[in-house]
Amino acid sequence: MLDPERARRLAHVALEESRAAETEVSVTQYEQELNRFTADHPVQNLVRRLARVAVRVRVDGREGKASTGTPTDEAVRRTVRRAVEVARRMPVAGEILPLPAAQEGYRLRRPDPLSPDPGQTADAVARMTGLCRERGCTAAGVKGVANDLRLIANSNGLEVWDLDTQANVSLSVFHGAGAGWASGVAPRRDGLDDGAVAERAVGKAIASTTPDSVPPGDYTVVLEPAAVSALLLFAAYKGFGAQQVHDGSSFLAGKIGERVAHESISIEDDVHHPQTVGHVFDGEGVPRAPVSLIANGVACGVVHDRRTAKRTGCRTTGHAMPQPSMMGPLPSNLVLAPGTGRTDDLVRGVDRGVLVTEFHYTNMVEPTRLTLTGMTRNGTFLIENGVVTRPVKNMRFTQSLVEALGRVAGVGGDARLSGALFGGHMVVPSLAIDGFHFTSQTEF
Amino acid sequence: MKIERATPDAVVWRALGRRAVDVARAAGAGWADVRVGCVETENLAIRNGRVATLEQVESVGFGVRVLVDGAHGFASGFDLTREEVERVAHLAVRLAKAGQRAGPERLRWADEPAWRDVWTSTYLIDPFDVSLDDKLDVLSRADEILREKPAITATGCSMSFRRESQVFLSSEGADIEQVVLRSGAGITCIAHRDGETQVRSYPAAFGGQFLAAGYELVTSLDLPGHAAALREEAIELLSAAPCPVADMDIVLGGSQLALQIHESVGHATELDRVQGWEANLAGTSFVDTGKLDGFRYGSDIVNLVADATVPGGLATVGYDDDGVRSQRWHIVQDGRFAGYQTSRDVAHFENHDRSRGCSRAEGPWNVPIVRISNLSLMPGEWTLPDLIADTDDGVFMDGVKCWSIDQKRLNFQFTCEIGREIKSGKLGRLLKNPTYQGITPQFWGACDAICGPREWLLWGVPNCGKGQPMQTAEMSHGAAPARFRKQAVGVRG
Repeated sequence: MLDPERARRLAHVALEESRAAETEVSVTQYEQELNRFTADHPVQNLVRRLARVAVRVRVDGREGKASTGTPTDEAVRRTVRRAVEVARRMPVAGEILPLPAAQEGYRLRRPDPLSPDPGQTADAVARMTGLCRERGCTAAGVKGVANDLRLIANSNGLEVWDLDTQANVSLSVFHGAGAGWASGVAPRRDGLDDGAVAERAVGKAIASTTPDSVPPGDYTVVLEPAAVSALLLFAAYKGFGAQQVHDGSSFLAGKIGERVAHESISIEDDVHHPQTVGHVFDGEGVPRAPVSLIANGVACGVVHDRRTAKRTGCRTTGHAMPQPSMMGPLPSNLVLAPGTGRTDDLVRGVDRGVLVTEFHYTNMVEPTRLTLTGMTRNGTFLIENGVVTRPVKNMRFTQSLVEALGRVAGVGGDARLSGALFGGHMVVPSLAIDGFHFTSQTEF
Repeated sequence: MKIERATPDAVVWRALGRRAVDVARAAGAGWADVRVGCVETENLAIRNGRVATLEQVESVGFGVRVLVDGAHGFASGFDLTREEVERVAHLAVRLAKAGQRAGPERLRWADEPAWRDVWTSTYLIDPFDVSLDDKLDVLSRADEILREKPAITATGCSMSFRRESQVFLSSEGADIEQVVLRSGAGITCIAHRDGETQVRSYPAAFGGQFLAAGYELVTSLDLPGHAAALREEAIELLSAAPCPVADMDIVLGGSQLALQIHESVGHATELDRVQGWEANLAGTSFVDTGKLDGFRYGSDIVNLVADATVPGGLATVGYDDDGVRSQRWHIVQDGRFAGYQTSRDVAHFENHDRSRGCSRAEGPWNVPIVRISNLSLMPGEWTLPDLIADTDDGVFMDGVKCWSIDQKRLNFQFTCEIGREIKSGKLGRLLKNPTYQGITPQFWGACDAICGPREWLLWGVPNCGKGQPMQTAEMSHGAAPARFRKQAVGVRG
């Protein structure tokens, strides 16, 4: 099904069909195999395939776009005609940049696709759930593979494609009132260690079986990578893009060159980091460049698309969303530079605090200070005198991320590819943060 | 009232679907169903005076679901050819057989008559027949009004239309053809000054109001006519007083109450979630099956009704994606928990011999899962002026701004776009970032007044995410303003 030649042919069909001044074609082929299981049995065994061909055209200074999920020559030709029709009804666009031409700087990734193998996946699920059962736990989770082929071509001669492959496992484990969770993402099946994921989740669940209440308030926290990514996701959405800095809504607005975080914090965007996944070019087919965003606590850069780059007189960094877009450029592959040591080493430096495995349903209360709220989840523990002493019931935090980044007390060496509930992956280590504000608690 | 014709491509879809079911049965499936269909969408948005989105999308596809000795298999594709349909049907069976190796438990499937029917949603004006010029004109006029004051730094005016056509066939003989049309529109503006940012939306956040209706919805909303007042509210919020931190009464407007219903009742009473099927993503639920014995969910006046038949509801269909005919039932009756939202594969956990018909998928290429139905708080007898006059010390809040709830749907914290102080029965000064936090059953237990049918409105939720792989579903929640006594207002410091 993953067929770059078919993608190319469809792109050429669109380009040949179009009589517009400029035409861009984006072809996506997506295939996913997934085993979703709970209470030790699978509830879904699925393979789904999706395709999309998006055509953007420019006619007499007007721009239009149409898409189809039917990747046939006939449907693509019809889509071109619809895009032209849309463009003819649009007002004349203001500033409009020519579509990008073929360029250099690509380090394309074209691995072999991960073929669906439901038998192998089911066996792996059986091994994980068996391990959980042996330890008196129940499990729920997913295991599978996904292939995402993307091709962008335009009438200015640009044509580029790559393939993002992901094998993933995510496991939630329950033991009495205790809950644990662990996950893994890798570009290849053999990059995952299901056994280690299961052991980690089981360990959390058993350790958190009988949680006590502790009062909400300010604590030093040790956040494991998944918890860090749930916070940093909002900096990615609302902070590191040139448009947000320009319109004043970013916490970095007016602060480039100034200290905005503890000196131990360095953040960059780098799609070629060895631990990360994703496409190596942006929504217009421009190669993604590594960008240093915060270096040793000092704000030093933002990501650009061609529009913001022209406005500010610099080069695009290849972070455009598919165009046209309501949003400006956004980072796609954040990397928070690791420190040294393990999570345990961070815990050893805490007199009284809370160890957080994961945050749940984190959301933004206020954008300029990045005030966030969310719940702890899947293993929350009290730290006393440098030692994890007991599990505690989950708590809600309401905390400014900007302030939290200024109170970092330690950075772990355990950087891991982590996701968050609403999507996105980034490579982040554990962090210790002083004065983290918990505002209420729940019943479990 | 215009009645939608039968799906033009249904003859071809039906033929391919029958082939899929036959192939799956021959390959060993005890049960097989197939959905073949097309989703058409049109999205328009003007942002800051510029057309930011104008896109038309059409997607055709199909999904084959099988049970082999109680094991589930699902596969989907987009090439509507006989060869591809046969390949995908075989793949679904192979998935189910392979899945049996992962564990001994099997799915149980609730009975349902094999319906044969054609069902369409109703509307007056087909939005796909309205010219783009007319649509852009409405959005442009609203956007211009919003941008008349420099304190407004960002605007967004949008419309969205979606038509989903589908044929459902099953090995039991079901043959259901459906066409569902929905429309949505709204405006939003962001005011920014001296480091303070505030947002206001009309008629609701996240794209506005959505209904199973035609372009008549857009006309009725009169977006340009509401833009000036919205702009002034956003600017006024910049200098508004902060939300107090205290235990006090709150009166929630309808759009915020819709979110409250969605998060603290809707998701909490999805039976697949209760059974742990969603445990690895969005979580489980505090509403375990032991609570079917009359658990106190709210005060006596709280009646929450699920209704997949209500006119205009985004979850209103003739039949769900399991082929189950739509129903209406109480989730909470007189304050007591009364029943779950179910699909055919989880109905038996409720000791119910029939599914409630809540199984829906995002297009035929996704697997059906339990989704929230149209779930509404039944109106009371108050009017909003009387309710305000009856409140001595409180805050009126409305407009969804920030929402978060724990993985069992107990502890929530919501921030609204706008608040107004209530002092001695009168609305007072404006409050910014009004926030309240609570625990679900205690919160609903503190509901002591609900406004009446004249102020009851069905609010659309177009962006409900659930499942692995993640799917987006749409549903509606009817609500009139209501009062909740002594809630934790503000963010505790």
